[in-house]
Amino acid sequence: MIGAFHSVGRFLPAVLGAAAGVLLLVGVGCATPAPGGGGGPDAGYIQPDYAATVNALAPSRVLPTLTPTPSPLPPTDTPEPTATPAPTPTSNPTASPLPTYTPRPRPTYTPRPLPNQNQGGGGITAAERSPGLFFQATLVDGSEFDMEDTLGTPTLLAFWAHW
Amino acid sequence: MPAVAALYREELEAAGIDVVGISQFNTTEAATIDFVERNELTFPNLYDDAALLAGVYQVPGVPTYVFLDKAGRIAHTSSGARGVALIESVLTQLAEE
Repeated sequence: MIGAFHSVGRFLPAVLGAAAGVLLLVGVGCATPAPGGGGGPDAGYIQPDYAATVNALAPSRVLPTLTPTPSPLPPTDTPEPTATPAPTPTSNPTASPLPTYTPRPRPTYTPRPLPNQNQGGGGITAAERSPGLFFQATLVDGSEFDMEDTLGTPTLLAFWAHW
Repeated sequence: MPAVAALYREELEAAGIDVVGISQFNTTEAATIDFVERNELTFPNLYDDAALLAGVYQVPGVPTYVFLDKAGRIAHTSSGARGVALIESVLTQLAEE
């Protein structure tokens, strides 16, 4: 074994020199540009593939990743206008229920004909009076009553209770 | 109501003026009949426990007097104890129309 190492060490400088020469030749061959692929087999075969893959990947992978990044920016701007109109409409409906209180009591008072004491009880003229209301009912004595029988004479309807 | 009953017996019936008593909010119809007989209400009286006519004529409470003209239209309405003088004056005016 020791003899073998001694023989290798004796030829080691020559082996290293030959390897360096081979590497030098290969490096020079790869560095020479390939004129249309007609040069050396490695020079004209590898370089166009790198260039093609780089050119093909550059627009498809870099640009689509860049274009979505500007698009999220406008959505970040759009929530701001949605937030600004929100306070103003909420403040307006709070003021809108105010008109609903005023018209309620008006219809209840207008249709009722009130007597005018200054004119001896005569408040409204005959032309202003509401249409006649006629009804039929059974009296407490069992007889039938028809309001139409009172036409032609003034009638007093007396609403009462025994208490 | 006794005052209205007296006015009817003494003046209104002879003048051809109709009076219709509408009893409501009584507990029973028997109580209404008993009140009519005890107070000698000789004009027609009906029992309206559901207060249907009170809703039709917009009666706020009792007593309330609704005066109808010769055509059956509402001429005046009076609520509360106003006395017989008001009833007599209004009916006289309506009879002269």
